Amino acid sequence: MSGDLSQFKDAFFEESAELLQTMEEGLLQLEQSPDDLDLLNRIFRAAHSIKGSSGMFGFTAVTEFTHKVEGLLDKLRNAQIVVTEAVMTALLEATDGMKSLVEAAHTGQGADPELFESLKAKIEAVQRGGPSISPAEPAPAQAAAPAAAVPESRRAVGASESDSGHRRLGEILVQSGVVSEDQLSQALSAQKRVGEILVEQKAVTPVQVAKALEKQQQIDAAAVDKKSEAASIRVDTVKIDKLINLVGELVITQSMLSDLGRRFEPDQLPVLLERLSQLERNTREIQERVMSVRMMPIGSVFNRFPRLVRDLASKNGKKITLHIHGEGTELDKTVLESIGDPLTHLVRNSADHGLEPPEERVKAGKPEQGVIRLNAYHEGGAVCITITDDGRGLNREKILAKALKQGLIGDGEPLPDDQIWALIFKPGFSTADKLTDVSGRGVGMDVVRRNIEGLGGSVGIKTQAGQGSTFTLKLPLTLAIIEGMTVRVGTETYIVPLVSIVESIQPTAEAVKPVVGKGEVVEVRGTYVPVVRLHEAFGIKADVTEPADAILVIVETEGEQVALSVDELLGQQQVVIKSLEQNFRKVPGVAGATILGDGTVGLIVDVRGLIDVARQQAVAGL
Amino acid sequence: MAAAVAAVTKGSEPQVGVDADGSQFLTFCVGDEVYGVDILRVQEIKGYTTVTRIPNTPASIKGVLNLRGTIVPVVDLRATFGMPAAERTTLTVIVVLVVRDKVTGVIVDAVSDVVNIAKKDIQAPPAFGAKVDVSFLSGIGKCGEKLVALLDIDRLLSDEEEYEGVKPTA
Repeated sequence: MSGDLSQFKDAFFEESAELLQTMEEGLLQLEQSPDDLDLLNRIFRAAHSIKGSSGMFGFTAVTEFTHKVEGLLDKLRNAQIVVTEAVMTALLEATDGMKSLVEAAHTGQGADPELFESLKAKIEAVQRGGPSISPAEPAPAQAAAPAAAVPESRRAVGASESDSGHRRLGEILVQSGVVSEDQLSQALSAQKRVGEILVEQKAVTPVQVAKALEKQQQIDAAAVDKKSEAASIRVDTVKIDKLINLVGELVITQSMLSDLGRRFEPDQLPVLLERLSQLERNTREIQERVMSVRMMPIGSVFNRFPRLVRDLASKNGKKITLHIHGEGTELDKTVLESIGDPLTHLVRNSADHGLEPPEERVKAGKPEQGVIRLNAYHEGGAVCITITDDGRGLNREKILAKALKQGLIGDGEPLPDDQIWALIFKPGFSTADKLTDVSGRGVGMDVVRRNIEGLGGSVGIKTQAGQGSTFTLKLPLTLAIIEGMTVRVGTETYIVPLVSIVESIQPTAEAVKPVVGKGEVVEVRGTYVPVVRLHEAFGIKADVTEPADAILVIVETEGEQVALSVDELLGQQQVVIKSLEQNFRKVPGVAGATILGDGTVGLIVDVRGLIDVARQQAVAGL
Repeated sequence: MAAAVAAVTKGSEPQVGVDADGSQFLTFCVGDEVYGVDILRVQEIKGYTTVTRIPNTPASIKGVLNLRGTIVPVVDLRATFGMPAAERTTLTVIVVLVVRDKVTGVIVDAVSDVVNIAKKDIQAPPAFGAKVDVSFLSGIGKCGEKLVALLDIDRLLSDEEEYEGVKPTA
């Protein structure tokens, strides 16, 4: 166990270093744009992740200190205090403090307790203080927090951007005594936003403004995403060394071959064949190694949960059993790394909110022992991960009440269940009555959704009061390689993803029946499947134009089956997906491209898109 | 060849004020005409290889090819300019251009030369009225006796992309 754990500890230290870096960068940016709530949320999440993981490994000093820092950040987020130089200094110093604590935990040395006492005191001082203190002075205990009273204008008044040299007009006027602060805040609250003014002038409709605002948010979010994209993957140097060795071998084989080629005699054919097979072996091995660098079983993420669940159980006085299935399910390394945090949050939520204390469970007629199940499996072209607990389920009323209080929904709005559950993904949303070390600040679920959607996946919730909840993460296999069936139509070669193929048949003439107009259906064991002529959908020439003479590939997507008519099946192979959009654009009916054995490009059929193309053509043709 | 270009440009009103600086251009032939592109936009020149057709795209998009593992679209300039298709010869090459971070291949009949054209020798594209579309040209360059039609590849290639391509079959 200790060996296992040390491996995860290393990961924790690496991750913490990254998160601290994120925090620091975020804080520095926040100084420049104090109104950026997204940024603040990001910093908060980083701190929260450090707190969570450090707690898991028992680095209580880090956990405790980070908890304090988080408290301060939370006040910032709730506009109880505002971003000032003093606050930022305290936060940056606190980040440094966290850094040295993490380092101390790494080296196993104790940190200087005095330093942290003073840091803690400083954090508490700014929390009480508000905008006016400088870090050098001791905090005047009862400094007013005018911000809370006038949240809309507070930043204009309070957030002096003295460090950037820019001063707001209001500040200067107040300072020179021309107006009082009250007058200023009144003037500021009378000030309208551009959207409101435009709506009043009837230049735009409120819907248009809302749309524009949404777009603005998306653009901001996209800008943020772009920055975070430059992530790296960590690879064991041993793996890289092995790869280098293999490449070395490849180079030797290649030079041996070219040497042989320069002075080739016909009787050396066996030697040539032998070297070629060596080349093949080298290449295959390298391919496997390169792939193995990226693909890892999900077990490496699941492994950390038994400890987490055990600790949570003992901390909360609950009895929890964790069942794990499908550890062998392989995932791309980058995907794997990104799902660690969301999964931790979900498991933590299940243990903390989902499962009831033993007495309550017994009262509800359930076994004392709560159960959390983690399961991973492939479904279609996706990987599904489910986290199931047999706890109390989501509390509909509580969520609604909280959402109402936070102004997320209007009063008396009837909402379908799905939308109610979706509310828990809003930033800052938590129904926990009191804050705990573990969860309850409502950061968890929005991290979960953000991370999963960032990977192009989705999060689903199924819950039943008293019976428990299931969270399903669906992640696409965006990656690199798919298993495909190569088919020929005329002179073109296409690849149909194997996951969507049900079967391939050579129909009898009677099985193909025309339906009104020009469509056909084919009878496959009693059911009728519409035929899509691939050559017509793609506007190319085929050798075989009548479905009755062609090979029909039955494909299924979203529960719908169609039969693609092709000339010939060429074979099954793994193909590496290449983007068409990188240099071109999306093509309807085509999911991507790949390089075929002869070096030419083959297009991968997007079954869903192809059906849509065929439908559009049918409609246009009628 | 040069004569053909000269014939096309005859009767135009020369205008000054073209944005291209005096710089180097790669010149190539399409049909009887000589065209040029800014050399800095050229990534490489590649012998003609078979390309894979993309379904439901305009005829000017010849297809895609594998350029060392990247999928690169290939545009047939003859089709773009409305010229009849020509036989592939040993001179037929694909000029690989970089347009706004995207890599695109352009099939031309032959590449000829890299020429220096001073700014003063570049004139604005002549107006032909509605008959001929000159919007793909950024100017006409004079290089010694030859006239070179300078292509505005940004416009040329982005217009291709704007095409939305599901073609209804009758």
